[in-house]
Amino acid sequence: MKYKTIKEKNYNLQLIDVPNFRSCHFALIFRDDFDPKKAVCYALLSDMITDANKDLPSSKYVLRKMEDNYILNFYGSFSNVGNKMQTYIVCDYVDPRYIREDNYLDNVYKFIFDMLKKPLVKNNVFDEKLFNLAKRRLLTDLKSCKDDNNFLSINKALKLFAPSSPTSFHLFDMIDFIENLKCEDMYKYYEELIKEHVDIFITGGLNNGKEEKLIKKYFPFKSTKKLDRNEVINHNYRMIPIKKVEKSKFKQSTIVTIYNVNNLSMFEREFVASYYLNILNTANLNSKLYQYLRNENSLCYTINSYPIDRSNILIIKVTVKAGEERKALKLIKKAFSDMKNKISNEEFVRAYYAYESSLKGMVDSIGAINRLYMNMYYGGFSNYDIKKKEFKKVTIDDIYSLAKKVKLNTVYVLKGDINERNQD
Amino acid sequence: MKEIKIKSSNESIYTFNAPTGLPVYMWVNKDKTNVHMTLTVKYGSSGINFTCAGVKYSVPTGTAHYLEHIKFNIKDQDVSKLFYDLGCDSNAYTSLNETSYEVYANTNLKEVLKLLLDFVYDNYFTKKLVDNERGIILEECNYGKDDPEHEFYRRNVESYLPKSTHRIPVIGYEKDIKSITIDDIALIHDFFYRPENMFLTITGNFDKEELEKVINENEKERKFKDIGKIKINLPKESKKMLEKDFVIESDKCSNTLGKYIIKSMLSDFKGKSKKEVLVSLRALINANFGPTSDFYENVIQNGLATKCRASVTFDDDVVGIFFNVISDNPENIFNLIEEKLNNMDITKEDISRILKKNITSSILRYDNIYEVSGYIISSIIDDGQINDDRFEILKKLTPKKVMDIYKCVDLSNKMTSILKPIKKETIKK
Repeated sequence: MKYKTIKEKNYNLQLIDVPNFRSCHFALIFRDDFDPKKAVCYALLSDMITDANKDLPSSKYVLRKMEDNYILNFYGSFSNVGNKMQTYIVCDYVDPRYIREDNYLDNVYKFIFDMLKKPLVKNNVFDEKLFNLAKRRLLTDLKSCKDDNNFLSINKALKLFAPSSPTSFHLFDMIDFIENLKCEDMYKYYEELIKEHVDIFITGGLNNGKEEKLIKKYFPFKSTKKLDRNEVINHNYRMIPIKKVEKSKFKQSTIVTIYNVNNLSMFEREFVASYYLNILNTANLNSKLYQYLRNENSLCYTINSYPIDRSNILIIKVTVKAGEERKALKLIKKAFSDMKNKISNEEFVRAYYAYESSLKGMVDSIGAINRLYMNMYYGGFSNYDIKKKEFKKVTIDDIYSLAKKVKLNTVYVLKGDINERNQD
Repeated sequence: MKEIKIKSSNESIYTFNAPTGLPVYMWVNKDKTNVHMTLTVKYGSSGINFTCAGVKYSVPTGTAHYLEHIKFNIKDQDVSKLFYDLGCDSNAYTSLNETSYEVYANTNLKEVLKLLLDFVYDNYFTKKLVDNERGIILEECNYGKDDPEHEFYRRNVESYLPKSTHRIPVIGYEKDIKSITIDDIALIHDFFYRPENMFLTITGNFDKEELEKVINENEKERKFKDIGKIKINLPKESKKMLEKDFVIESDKCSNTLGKYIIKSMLSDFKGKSKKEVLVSLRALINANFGPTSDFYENVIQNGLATKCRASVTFDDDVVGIFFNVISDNPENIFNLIEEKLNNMDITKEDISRILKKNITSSILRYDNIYEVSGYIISSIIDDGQINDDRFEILKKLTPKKVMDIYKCVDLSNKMTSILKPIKKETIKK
């Protein structure tokens, strides 16, 4: 794996040369500080500018062009990460070594940047059909979130945890704003978007600087805005955890608990936290949570954990039999408490191997390699070679010490209806 | 060891039979770091009735899945822990026609392989194990029941395949899960977890001769009692669907979903093979309803639907053309689908574009060791062998051949269904 950063006036380019793949992964990221209204518009724009442009006026033509150019995926997406928001343009194409067509790579890069620089706009107004289509798609997805008790429970728990923070933000909160958004509003957001800070990551078998030259040739914007890379949001500990119980018509109960994990050193964030999470939950049936809730008490089928590194929090979600919430909460508490002083050597060794195995697994996935370098770039994490050495230095005491920094902040229970359950 | 050449991607898969008769498939790539091994049993949730040596047997629905759950135990040892201790991840899944046990490893390959073979063949079951797992499986069973889309899907399947055991959920029905016994589990293990009914795949970076040796060593001492010929009895599906049209109203959904299904039988296609029918219909449906079609453009761009996906599937001898729609007015989309179905066409250019798309997917499949395993498993389960037949059929396809096959589809044998939210005013009443 060779890694090279090139700083240009209008963008930063990260080239990650891994020649053992047949595909190449291109990701262009527009970055800005978090802003809820911009978030909505950028999410819509990420869809609109990858769905059509002046030369290819609907997705039909875009997809045909992709097929002609051996492009597997071309799409836009949006996410908020800590205190920043990121609008992605992604393209997966076949490595040129496998295609014997003249100008193949040139055509791929021309296609990507033509899509971005020639949006389907007339007199500074986006095409109304294109806008309505993106809006409908987004609203359909967001409305379906209402039907998902897992999403709802986590969303409600995060709102309880930090109601006005970007950590608890979801586009779902902006349904009314989206419904009232006008097509005429969009072009000004497009003009803002293309001026944002731009990072480009290319992962795959690189062709002697050809990609770098093609980006130089086709990159169309004056994106001179520079942004710091710090994305971390700190949330304060709560002396007494906040708790809320709501009733639902669902057959099962969903419990969400949120923990602050503040003041971690880089070593703890990058290495110790993985061991901690493995022993607590991600070792699946061998983890403490699975042992207590599933294996010993048959209370649930799955337990999910969501560490949000940039917000220094950990979320645990478990769906249990309606009526068994108290028992489940007690067992969750016991698992967290045991993490402070009851880790067996067997659990520790298993976590060690899991880390080693995930490091080795990473190099077979182009997506994982791309994420590794994004985490290095934005999160200040180590490169692959350092990781391979450093993870071995973690001790059980390091995990105990981290466990003491994990503090329960929020408990949200969406209580299932026992009567609904008994109807089956 | 025999080499199978995959022309579409210029790759080779190696195969041999172990001393027990267990077929083994290997794909080696020295650029990869990891290895994916799967041991697949050609027995899934649909095999609830079977005959062995002239005696008929039946087990409750969900037994195949239940066995998969408790399989990770040998003599009071948790197998997933043993794999973990060898530095690898293990998992398993059950589907309609197969149950597969998989490991993802990059170290201790010989030991991992031995353990995979040993534990899947092992017949250690206790009543305690069976009883302990029941609560967990019932929770898994309840997991989808809060989702109206899941219920909508279930009613469609029950209507589309009223006789076939493919209509039964893989996990089984709740009342059956409650009744599964250790005897049911031991029975299907004895009958189906046998080398002649299983196959092993290994993909990734490894020394194929070395692992071949491990397999041969490990298998040569293994003995299996001859139980005679075993046959899964699948009820013969009829062309008829249980319901013609139906609407479900739910207070747990926010979008309106529609399904339009056309059902045919393989026998309708006058001696054509499954593969020919599948490749031809998929090409035709893709050209006329796929994202690059005029139909799709009209429906999506004009806001008639937010999503409209068309697909062609096979369930035993049943051929289904499915349309899944998200739209405020699905009836309108159904009319447009019907109109288009009566005016279908396909050009040489359409076929060549579909072929190009297939080449791209075929090349990129070999970037991922899981996908290669998946490709081998589905080829063996669906076709009984690995070959490039589908690709070769696609290469030789002509518009006339496609339309000749399409003429055999009985467009009148259809079913429509809608899932829609209950309006707020209705709830108030």
